[in-house]
Amino acid sequence: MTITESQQAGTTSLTTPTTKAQQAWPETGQQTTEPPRTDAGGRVTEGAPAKRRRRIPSIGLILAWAIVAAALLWVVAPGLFTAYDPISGVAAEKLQAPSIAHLFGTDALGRDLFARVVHGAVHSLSGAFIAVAVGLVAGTSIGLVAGSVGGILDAVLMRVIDVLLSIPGLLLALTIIILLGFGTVNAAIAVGVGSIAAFARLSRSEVVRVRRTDYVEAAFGSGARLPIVLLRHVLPNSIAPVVALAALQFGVAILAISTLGFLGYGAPPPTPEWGLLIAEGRNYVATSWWLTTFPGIVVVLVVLATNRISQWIGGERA
Amino acid sequence: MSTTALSQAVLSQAALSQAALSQAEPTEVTSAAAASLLAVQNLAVSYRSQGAQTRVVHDVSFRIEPGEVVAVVGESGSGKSTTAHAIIGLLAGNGQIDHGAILLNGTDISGWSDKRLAAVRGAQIGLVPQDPTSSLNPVKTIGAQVGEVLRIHRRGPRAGIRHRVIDLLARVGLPDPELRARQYPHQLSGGMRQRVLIAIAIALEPQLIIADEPTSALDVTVQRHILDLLDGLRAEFGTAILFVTHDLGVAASRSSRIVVMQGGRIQEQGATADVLANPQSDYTKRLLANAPSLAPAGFREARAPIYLRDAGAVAAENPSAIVVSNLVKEFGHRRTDAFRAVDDVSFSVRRGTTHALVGESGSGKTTTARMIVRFEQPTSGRVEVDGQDVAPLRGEALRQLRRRIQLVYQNPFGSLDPRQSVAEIVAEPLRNFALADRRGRAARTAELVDRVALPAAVLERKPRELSGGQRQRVAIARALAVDPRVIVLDEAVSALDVTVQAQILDLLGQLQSDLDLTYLFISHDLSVVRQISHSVSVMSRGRIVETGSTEQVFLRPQHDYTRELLAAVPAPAPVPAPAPAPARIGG
Amino acid sequence: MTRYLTGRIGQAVLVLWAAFTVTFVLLQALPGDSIMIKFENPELGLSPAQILEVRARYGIDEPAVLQYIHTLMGFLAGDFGYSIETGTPVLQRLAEGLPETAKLAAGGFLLAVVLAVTIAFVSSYTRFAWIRGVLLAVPSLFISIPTFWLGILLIQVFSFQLRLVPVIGGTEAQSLILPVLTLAVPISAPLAQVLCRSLDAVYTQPFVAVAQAKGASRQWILWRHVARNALVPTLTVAGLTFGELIAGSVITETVFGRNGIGRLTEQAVTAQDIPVMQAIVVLAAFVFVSVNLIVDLLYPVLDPRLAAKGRVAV
Repeated sequence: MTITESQQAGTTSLTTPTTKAQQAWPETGQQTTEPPRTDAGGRVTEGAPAKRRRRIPSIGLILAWAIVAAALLWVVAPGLFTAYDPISGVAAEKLQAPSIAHLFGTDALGRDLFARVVHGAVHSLSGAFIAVAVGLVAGTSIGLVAGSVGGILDAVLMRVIDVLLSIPGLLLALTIIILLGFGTVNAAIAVGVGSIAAFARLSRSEVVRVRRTDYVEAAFGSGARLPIVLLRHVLPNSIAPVVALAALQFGVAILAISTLGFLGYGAPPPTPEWGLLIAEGRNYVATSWWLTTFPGIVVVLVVLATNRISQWIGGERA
Repeated sequence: MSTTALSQAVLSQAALSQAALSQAEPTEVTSAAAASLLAVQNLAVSYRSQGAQTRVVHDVSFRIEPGEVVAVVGESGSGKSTTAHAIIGLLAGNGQIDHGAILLNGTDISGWSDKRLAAVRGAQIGLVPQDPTSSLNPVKTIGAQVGEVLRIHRRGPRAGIRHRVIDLLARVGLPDPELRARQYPHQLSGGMRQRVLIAIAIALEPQLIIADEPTSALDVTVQRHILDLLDGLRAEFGTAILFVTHDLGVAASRSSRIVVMQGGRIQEQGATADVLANPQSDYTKRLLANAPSLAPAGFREARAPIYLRDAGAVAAENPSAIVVSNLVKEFGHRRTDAFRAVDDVSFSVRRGTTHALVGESGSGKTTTARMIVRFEQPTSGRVEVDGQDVAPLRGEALRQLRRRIQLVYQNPFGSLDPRQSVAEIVAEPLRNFALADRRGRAARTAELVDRVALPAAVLERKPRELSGGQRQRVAIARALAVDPRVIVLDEAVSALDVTVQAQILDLLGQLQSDLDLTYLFISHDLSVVRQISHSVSVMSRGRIVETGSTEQVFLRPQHDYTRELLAAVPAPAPVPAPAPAPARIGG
Repeated sequence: MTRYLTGRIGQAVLVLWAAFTVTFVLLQALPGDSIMIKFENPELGLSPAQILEVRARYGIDEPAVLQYIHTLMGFLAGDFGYSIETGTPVLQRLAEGLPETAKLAAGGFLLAVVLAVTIAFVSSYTRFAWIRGVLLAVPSLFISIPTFWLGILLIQVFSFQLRLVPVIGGTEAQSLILPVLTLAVPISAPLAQVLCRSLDAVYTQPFVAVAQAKGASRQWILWRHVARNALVPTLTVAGLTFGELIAGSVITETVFGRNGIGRLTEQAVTAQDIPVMQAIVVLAAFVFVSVNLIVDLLYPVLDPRLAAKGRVAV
């Protein structure tokens, strides 16, 4: 109901204090958020109708979109960003520290590291894309079926998901890699299978949540049949959290794929995949710090950006 | 240590100022205020959100004398709760007092830090919150939570506290207090939890208790017992009570003075009897007029049944729109733990009339209604709508039933899809039953929206842009779209403020006479039922205990439970019934 | 309560059996003769008779169903078969690696809890908005860092630049510091996030206002009312992070060259050592399921409401 100063200080908390005050203090409902403004005993405010919320996107969010846009441009047109060849280097320029000529320095074969990072984007991002697609399609289908059909099928599907959850993601991915063999696409599929459980559980719980709402029952009450209700009411109202998870999983997949690349199960050298870049630079940590540091920072920035965007999709927009 | 010292300092300071000021000129405003237990002067409170300050309490001033009960009455958004919480410094994190003074025994505590206020809270001012279900810590025992207030203010040794806790629990009327002290909140009923919260509030015998909607979440019979308890404690300890409520009836029957608030401002204040008998402000007059009550005003008389008016029609028309016979609903699978939510219920509703199902929470009234609209499958029994037994309907036949019977939900926030526009919502039944082409739907939708007295401008809006009353109108328009014969209203006005409630009830009455609709009206609120229904069934524990015309049931109740329910309703007029407790407030 | 207990244990056993079956199908039934690819490689120079012996030893000529039953029986008896890479019993290889990994995982988990609790409680208690803002950004940064990169970065900074921790040699404690830190960082992030969120959620509960109205101080409310209520969701997440802990040790041990289960996993994948891999996966699932079973059984102790219901809605 009321809040201590810890929240007073918390202007940057996960949920804004305004929202909290809304739940806590029905009478402050001048601006409206999703939870209904109700008085004690569930009385509903007649007062002034709520205005549409207008938010100025934060600097962090703009930055996040900029980073993702840059990474996508690296995929589409790497030539715009660097003139160097990512595969063949100039032996005379090996292991040079970062400079104007070589922004990220050069590696042991004299290849420009920045060029390798730029050209590597296509491997990491397309891998992440495949992984998310696998998880999203398989997981959401399972979740949707389980949530809308219910009954025994629901119970069976969810036990299967429990089993998937009980095997740590990396081990599951490694098991699948043993089955499929090494390579970028195989690594991506392996990572995707690991995320099926998360998508299935979320989409099921969203479908179940929306199906319990009064407006879905009211739709049946207005004579709608199940497919119409699912399409017109359940899907639009349950999609936002799933999309948010997809964005989040995109970042997770980039991390997982670079991990598999680092362990040597992804793309073979000399592919400039980000994880592999770091693995190759590992032998020079004592002397050439840039070889591991810069690719790592790029990975961190891209993952942070996708997380921020995921947060925006899931929390602030919906 | 510091806490005790501080509270003593506060007490002595208060005593000093009281002593000093008792000799001061009574005409001077500040000194008169200082003589009061509590004086709120020109209080202004605002909330900060998204960089904007919104003021929700404007220049509010009132006083509370020792031992007095003052009711602050208002609808949601009136600023009444904010005012109450500002007094003990429990505003939400983004709220702040802009100006004004809060004089407790003459000392202004409005600018005090949390640390200083901690000595006042609990010791001098107690709080009874509005929602007993979530106001107790679920992982601590009742005893620990009552004892906590004593421990915080360091009153007595450990063993002493234990005894005091048992005494307190016994004092607030909890049976078997030793057992209760060991139990957890979830093991107690709502009414028992509210008694525990009262025990916490009175533990240190504060001079003032702030009761913030203390009974809104409780059934009417429980509400009465809790109010009686508060009255008794006030008489015993001489505690003053600041009563925050939306219910004019509660305010009228329990307070000596009333402060009416609207939109963050005080509209009127004065002695309860005066305000009720002779309201000065327009808002108070409207509030009084709209407040449903058990007070006079005639009962709704059903038109004579058609077979009396027109003997020829009797053969052609079935006089009953709904006939329910021997309806049963059991939950749970195994025979051992099956729970009978609805137990052998029978009643009928004559065409074109309103029948009310009345009962407290858990009485089975909503389950009955849901079986009639067939969102719930009856375990056994018959439900006839327009002469057809709908209980066995399935699939397409069930879908077609929705053209004849519609349901309007309690919560207008939950029953409208937040992603659809009003036009889409109202047109949905027309689409589902293919009742019109695109152009015909648009015309019909506009007509329906007009029918429920909403401006055409709302058609393009989303539900979240509408107020509660507007949303309920949209829900009614959707229900009307298929031209149903029967509408089931499940607590359809309970979530609305009284003035809005009155408007929706008017609308429902208008629609009934225009469209010859039959209503089944589910409600816990007897005063609303008295106003709208032609006939009533009273439900308790899954059974109907009494059925009859509204007049019969309200004026000549046959069953004890009905009598108890009726007696528990607080009336805005001075209570005619004899006060059961000796400590009843006069006026 | 006993019915709940047996039901819950039965469910755990079922999940474990299913996990075993899934990995068996993925690793042994589907790839068919993948084991033999290694032994039939002419470079090994095994005679046909020797190859036949190998086939018999690994039970390759049995029908899949019999293989499955034999492997399952073996697992139940504690016999995980033989490593293809070294020919030694899988159990022996696991036993060699387990103590190292246990030390690493225990240290990593403890440090993660300490980090998470510090972040959450300081951010919840501080009066300064900027401290809270910074602290709340930390978990999202932590989960965005690739674990292997963090390990390399720590070696670079602490071993090569600052020379605080020796790369090779050094005491056992010294050799544990960086791996434990590497492992703790990604684990602490979800813990800190859920703890922050739970603390915030509990603070908005009406009973906190009631405690304030009793005159309780900020410390009193935080420790006696909020902390315990925020514990239950945190415990759920803590149980789930055990999967992360196992995955994290694979990476950490590889980066730091420690000979534990994680390193064994990496070697098993590279060498396609299927019996070892299957044993590791089943072991990981066993640890994960057991930990979460314990967590489930702890709920009723922490929250009396759940004791009454005997089950937890997740």
